[in-house]
Formats: sequence, structure tokens, C-alpha cells
Amino acid sequence: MPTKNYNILLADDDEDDRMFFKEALSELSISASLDTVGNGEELMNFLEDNKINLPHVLFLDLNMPRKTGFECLSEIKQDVKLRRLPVIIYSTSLNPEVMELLYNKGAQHYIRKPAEFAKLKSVINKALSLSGKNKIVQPPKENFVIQP
Amino acid sequence: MNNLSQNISNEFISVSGEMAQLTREKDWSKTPVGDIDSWQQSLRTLIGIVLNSRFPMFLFWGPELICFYNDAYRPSLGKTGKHPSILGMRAEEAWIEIWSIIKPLIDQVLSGGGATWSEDQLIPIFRNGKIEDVYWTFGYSPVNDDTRKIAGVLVTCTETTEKVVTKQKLEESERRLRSLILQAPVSIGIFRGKDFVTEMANARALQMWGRTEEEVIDKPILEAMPELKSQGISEILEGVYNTGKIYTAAELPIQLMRNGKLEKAYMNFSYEPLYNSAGTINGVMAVGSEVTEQVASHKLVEESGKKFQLLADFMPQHIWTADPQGNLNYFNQSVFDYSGLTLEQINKDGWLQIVHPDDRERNIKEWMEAVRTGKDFLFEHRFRRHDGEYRWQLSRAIPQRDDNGNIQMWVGTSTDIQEQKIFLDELEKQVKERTVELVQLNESLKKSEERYHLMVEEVQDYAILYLNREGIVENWNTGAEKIKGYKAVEIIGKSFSNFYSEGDRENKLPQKLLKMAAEQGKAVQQGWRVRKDGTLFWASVVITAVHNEKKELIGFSKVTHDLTAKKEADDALKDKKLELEQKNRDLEKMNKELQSFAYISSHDLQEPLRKIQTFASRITEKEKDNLSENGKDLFNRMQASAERMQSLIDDLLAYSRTHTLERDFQIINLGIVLEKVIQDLNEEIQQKNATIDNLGLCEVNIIPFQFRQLFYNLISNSLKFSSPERSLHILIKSEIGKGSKFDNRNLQSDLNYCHISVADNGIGYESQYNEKIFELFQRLHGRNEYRGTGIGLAIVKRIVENHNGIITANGNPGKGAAFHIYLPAPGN
Repeated sequence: MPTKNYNILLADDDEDDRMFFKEALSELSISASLDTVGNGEELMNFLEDNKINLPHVLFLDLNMPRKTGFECLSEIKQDVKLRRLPVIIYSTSLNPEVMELLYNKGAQHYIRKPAEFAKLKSVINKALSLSGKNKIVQPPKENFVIQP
Repeated sequence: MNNLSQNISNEFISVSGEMAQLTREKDWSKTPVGDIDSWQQSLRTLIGIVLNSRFPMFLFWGPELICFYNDAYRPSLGKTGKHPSILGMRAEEAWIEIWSIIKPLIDQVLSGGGATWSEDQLIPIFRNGKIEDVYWTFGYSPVNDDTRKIAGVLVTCTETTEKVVTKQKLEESERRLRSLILQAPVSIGIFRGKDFVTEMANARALQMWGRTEEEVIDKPILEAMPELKSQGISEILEGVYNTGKIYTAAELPIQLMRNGKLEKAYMNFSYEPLYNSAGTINGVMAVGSEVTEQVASHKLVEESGKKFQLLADFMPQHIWTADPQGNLNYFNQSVFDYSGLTLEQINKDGWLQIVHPDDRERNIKEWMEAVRTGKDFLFEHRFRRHDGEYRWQLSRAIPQRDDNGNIQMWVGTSTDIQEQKIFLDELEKQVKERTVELVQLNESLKKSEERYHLMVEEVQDYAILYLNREGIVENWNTGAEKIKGYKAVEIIGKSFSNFYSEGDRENKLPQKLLKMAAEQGKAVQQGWRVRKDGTLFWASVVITAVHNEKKELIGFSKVTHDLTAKKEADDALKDKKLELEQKNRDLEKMNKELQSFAYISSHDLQEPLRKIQTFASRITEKEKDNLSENGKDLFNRMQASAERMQSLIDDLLAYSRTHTLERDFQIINLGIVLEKVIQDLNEEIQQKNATIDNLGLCEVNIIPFQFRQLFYNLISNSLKFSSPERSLHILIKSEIGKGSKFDNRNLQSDLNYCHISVADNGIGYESQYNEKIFELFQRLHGRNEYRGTGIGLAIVKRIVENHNGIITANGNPGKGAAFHIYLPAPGN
């Protein structure tokens, strides 16, 4: 089991989903700290404030008020100081065309939020072990989506 | 008379011979001399001498001068003449024709004047039937009778006619020779003896020598002309004199003392030996002529010939000459350089070898014609160059004539005109072509003009009229009458503004249109116009300015089309269009709403559902023991419903995505697409222990992600409806062929299709459902038997249709199902 001390940031406007993520993470035997933000603006402010001490990985929901995950991804990848932050898309839908766009924008992985809690746990676990700390080299396209 | 006395008395005439016999037998008694017996002794003696003599003798005797002659004389009397009749005849009768000549001689002798002697005297006598010129040398001598008195004349004579004639001929020939020599057009000198004394020199010789006759005649020639000594002439003369060999010289230069100075002269002459009658050489004849002038002119000619050749050889043109008969005898260097032939080669095979074979016949004809008529020769022909190329030449030749107008030679030139010729030919060709074009154009113009007139006349749908510069109607066709209602007579001569409404006329629209046409060449307008009866029609008008050749405006053509019906239709169409546009906008709006529905279902709808499921899974995990069995069952059913709801939403999303406008076609091998799908479904395939084989998957032009979906759905279907009795086998094939090859009426027979088939050995279905299974939400089995939303095959069908393809299904209950997809092959 991975025992690294992860600093994880989750951007999701849905309180339930944030709760599921927190519970799933806590049930995994991973030493990790989790920060959450509720929308895109909050996310960008958080990152701006923590530029010197960026999280190891960002789980990014797409449909968020004020600033969508897509917009946030673009901004992060255009900012020299932020672009090394691995971004794992964390979304309800799975639209191939959208997926293609996100991959091209530089997202690391894509997770479709599973309906089963057990699967949620497994997919978070996989994502953390795949992405590693500040791992920004993109996987091949066919490994973009992490299956639970 | 007794015989004896006769015999004795006539002894003097007993000699043999014709005259002796004639004299004997003559009856002399009838003559003045009387019977022979009565003759005096002296007469007897004389007759005896005469008849015995072999020398011609004639005797005149007695006062009557009776004639006697002997056999020797006899030939002088010829064949038919005085012989023998004059024997015993009196002289005056016998020689009547010469009596005047001989009577004085006879008289002289008879009168005691002594004998006469005449040499080569011409005395013509009658003999041989005519008077002949006869020359005689004769003497008349007196003879005495017995009384010693002169009683007769004895003529001794010899005929010298032959000698005289020969002498005369000789003299004549000598005279002639002399005069010939003297008058000869050449100089002739005759030198006798080994000192070469000048015997004769004619005027020409004297002139040539520069001497007078006195200075040379009877003097040795080398003394008379001492300047010759040192020039080898004496050696030549001596050579001829000693050897008898004729010496001839041509254009021999000799120095002569003439006119007080030494002059150089050129001579043609020959020295010939002269022989005497004994056949030994006794002189030399010199025959010659001075050719100084000719030599000088030769030299001049030679020199000018050299100049000519030098000049000719420098000329870039070919220069040649020919004799009056047309035989070419000179070519300049240019001819040799051009032809690459030597003079010998040209002379051997003739100059015609240079001329192009096609030009030769006419060349000869023209040249011979020029030579025959003496007219200038002018001809174009091709000459072969040294490299084999034939080039066009213009040859000219002009005859050179002497003072009498006789042609002495031809001088010709040939000039290379290849470039000009090609240029001219090309020009000619172009002119010809252009002419043909123009003729054709002219004809077609004529025809088109005729057609145009007919057309204008007959056109009914268009008013075609001609306006003068002021807009007055000058011409009117059937169409104009039909559209505007005026007959030609009613409108010609009136302004075209009659066709415009009052408002347009006030706005000066007619004038504005004419101005526009005049300035821009054309005015196009649509608007209402007024018919004769006052009704309006919608007119499309084109007014075109017409110019004359000087580009001056002379009037306008005006074509009007009645578009009233069209206008109405257009207006109606416009309304329809507006309606359509509105409908389109509505549709677009609806489409957007649909899209947002897709979005809602993809996200907003999924999210609460997903959460229900997550919460349910949390409850199952954490609160499982707090639920009754019934509660657990109900809870499971709720979860199943939620799952089903999720797949419905997923499938619907997939279905709606096939609407997408994205048409990202690629030519790709179906194997690549299939490979990925098999990977995706790997777990299920292993679970079912299924095998998937493919046979020759081809390249197709497809939207890859849609085909991935298609294969996914079909294979998922096969996996779902596999037979429990046997392990599943799926066979996927593809082939390309003409539509006619495949068993499907909906294919176009001449197009190429890619036929893809997916067949399994699953449970199959009744073939009556072959079409129905593609309908949305169609299911053949209960939910409890086989899960499914009834959307999968609808998606498959839509994808095939997105690719302009056709799909059919073929079910066989208990055996399996097969799907056939026909896509237009790439490159169709």
C-alpha cells in the first residue's frame, strides 16, 4: 500500500460528492491531507495563495459555478508556476469529445464518478498511485481514463 | 594511061600512109594542078618529101594555092572538119576562117619576102565540129617550080596548143599565188638561199616588220632586220632550211625595230621549207600574224578573270557562270563551301546533284527555257548543304551579250533565302488560315444576321425595339406588340417614355436610363410599365447603347421582358421563404433545446441518480444488518432500477451523440477499430468463453469512434444472446465488390461497396423481426431474461446511416444471428 504523504486538493461544488471523496479517502490506508474548494474561482484563489506550496494532485470537477473545471484547467496549464500540478478530472459525465479536449489541454487522468462507493474508493486509490507526486508526464491516451 | 607509065610516074607517091593513098587515088585532073602525070618534077619531088616526112607539113601550090598535107599534119585537122576534103582544094576555100591571118604570110613568101617563123601563134581552126583555139609554131617557106620560080608555100608546123595552154595555166597560177600572197590577210615572206634573201614580202609582212619593200627585197633578211639576230630567229630559219621541219610558234614575243624604236610584239607564225623542182630545199616561207593586241587583251582578260574570281570567292552568295548553251562552267568558293563538294565532284555528277530532287525537273525546264529565249533566269529551289540539310535559294542568271547581241555567257547567283522563305511560308500559311477563318466568320455572320432578323421578328416573349438617340421608337417586333399592346404603326415615331408610368416620367426615369446606357453601355432595370390599355406589367428592361464604326452613339436597343407572372411567383416565393426561415429558426431552437436536454440527461440527470446509487451502496455496506429480509429485497430492487435508469441514460446519450454534426471521416482498417473493442470487452468475452474470428478486414472510410460504438454494440449483443448450449463464436468478415454482386436490392449495382458481416452462433431470433429489431426501445426478450434498453441496435443502424450505408439483420432461432453492413467503398 502506498504510504506517501499526499497533499490532495479537491475542487467540487457538490457537497455530497466532497463528502463521498473525503470518506473514501479516509477509508483508504493512505497518509493524505485533503483541501477542498467549492468552485473554480475559489480554486484559482487557493492556488494563487499556495503557489510556493502547491498540492501534490488536484481532483477537478468540470461542472462548477462561476468558473468551470475546463476553464480552470486552461488557466493552470498556461501559468508557468502552476502547470506542473497534476490535474485529475473528476466528473459525472463521460463524453468522448470532451475527454479528447481535456487530454489535449494537458489533464493527467479522467475519473468518472462511480455510483458504487466501493468503486469510488478503488478509483481514488488507483488515481493516486498512478499520478504520484507532481507527476506531470501525460500517460498514453488509452490510459487516460481510470476505470474503477 | 597505061599501068606501067603510071607506076613509073607516080613513084613519088608510092609511099605508104593514108595521105599518100589519098593523094594517089585523087582525081587530080579535075583540079587546077591537073593529072598527076602532068605534074612538074619539082612538084613531084615536093610531094614526095611532104608525104615521106614525119614532121607536119602543108603545101600550098600553084597560083590557086592548092592544098597538100601529110599524115603528120593530119591530127591538127581534128576528127570532123577539113580532112580529107581540103586535099586539092584551093587555100582560100580551105582556110576561109583564117584566110585573113595566113594570106599576108603567104603573100609575103610568094612575093619573095622570105620565109616566116611564128611561135605559139594562136590560129583558131574548124575542127571537131567547131572552131577551136589552136596554137601553132610554124614557118612558111617558098618552094620553086621547075623554072625556079616561086610556085608555092611549104608550111612546116607543129601544134603547140597543149604547151601554150599549160604555160598559160602555170602563169595564171603563179599570178594568182603572187596576188594571193600579196593580198593575204597574214604576213608572208619568202626567203631564198642559205642567206635567206628576201624574195617577196607582202604588205602585211612589211607592216609587221616595220620596213619598206626597198629595205628588204633582195637582201638577206637578217641584214635587213639586224634586231632579229639576237632573238634566235636565224637559228630557227637555219633549222628549217637544214632539216625541212616546219617550225610553228604561238604568241612568241619578239622585239622589232618599228617607228624608230624597239617594240615588243607577239607573233603567231610558221616557217616552212621551200623546195625546188629537184626536191631540195632552196628557201623558207614565213607565214605569220601579229597577235600583240590579242595577247594584251588576253592578259587583260586573264587579269580581270583573276580579279573576278577573287571577288567571286569572297562573296557570301553562290556565283556561277554558264556557256551560251547553258552548261555551267564556273562556281565560286561559296558553292564548294556550302555543298561540301569539290569542283571535280560537281563536274563528275553535275551541279544538279546539289538541287533537291523535287525541284530538279522544274529547275531544268526553267533553265533551258531561259537559255533558249535569252530571258533572265529567276528561280527558287533548295540546295543540299554539306550537312545534308536542304535550304531554299533564290537563283538569278543574266545573259552577257556581245556588241552584236549574241549571248556569250550567263552569270548567275544563288542567295540563301531559307529564313525569308520560312517566314514567308509561315506568313502565307497564316494569311491563308486567317482568310479561311474570315470567310467562315463572314458566312457565319451572314447566317447569324439572317437568323437574328428572323429571331427578332418572331420573338414573342420579349419586346425588342430600336430607339434613336432621342428615345424615339424606330422598330417594333411581335413581342413588343404582344407585351405592350401597341401595333407598330401606332408607336413607331413616338417616344418610348409612353411605356412609363406618370410618376416615372415625372422622375425622368426614361431619360435617366438612356443616359446610363449611353455612359455605361447598358442600363438594366426592373419596374412597372404601362400597357396601351393603361394596365401595368412588371418589366425587366435592358437598354444597350448602339455605336457606329466610329464609336459614335447612334441609338439604343431595348429588350423588355414581361415578368409580371414571375414577379408574382417571386413574391409568393419570398413569402414562402420567410415562412421557411421562421420554421428553420424554430427548428434550430428546438434542436438547441434537444441539445440542452442531452446535456441535462448527461449531467444533471445523472448526478442525482448516481448519488442515489452511492447512498444506496453506503446503506448496503453500513446498515445491511439493520434491514429486514424484505427490506433488503426491496432495497436491491431499488438499486437495480437505479442501475437500469443509468444504462438508459447512457444509451440515450450515445444515441443522441450519433446525431453529431462532426464528420471526422478517416480511411482506416476495420481491424484496428475491432481490436480496441475486443480489448474493451475482454472481460465479458473471457467470461463467456467466446471466440471472435475475423477474415480479411478491409480499409473503409468511417468516423472511427462511431464504428467503435457499432462494433461494441454488435459484439455486446452477441455476448448477451449467446446460447447456453455451446460456446459463443463470432465471425466478422469484410469484402469489397460491386453492388450487383451482393444480395441487396437497395444497393446501386455499379458502385463499389464494402460488405461487413458480423455473425454469431447464439440463440438467434425469428426472421420476421429482421427489421423490427433496429427500432428504438424494441426488445424481443423480457428484462428478467436479458438486460437491455432496446437502444443498442438503433444506435448501430443510425451509425450505418451516418455513413450512407445499409444494414440488414438475419435471425435464425436457435442457430444465431447475422448482421450485414454495406458501406460505400473508399474511392467511389
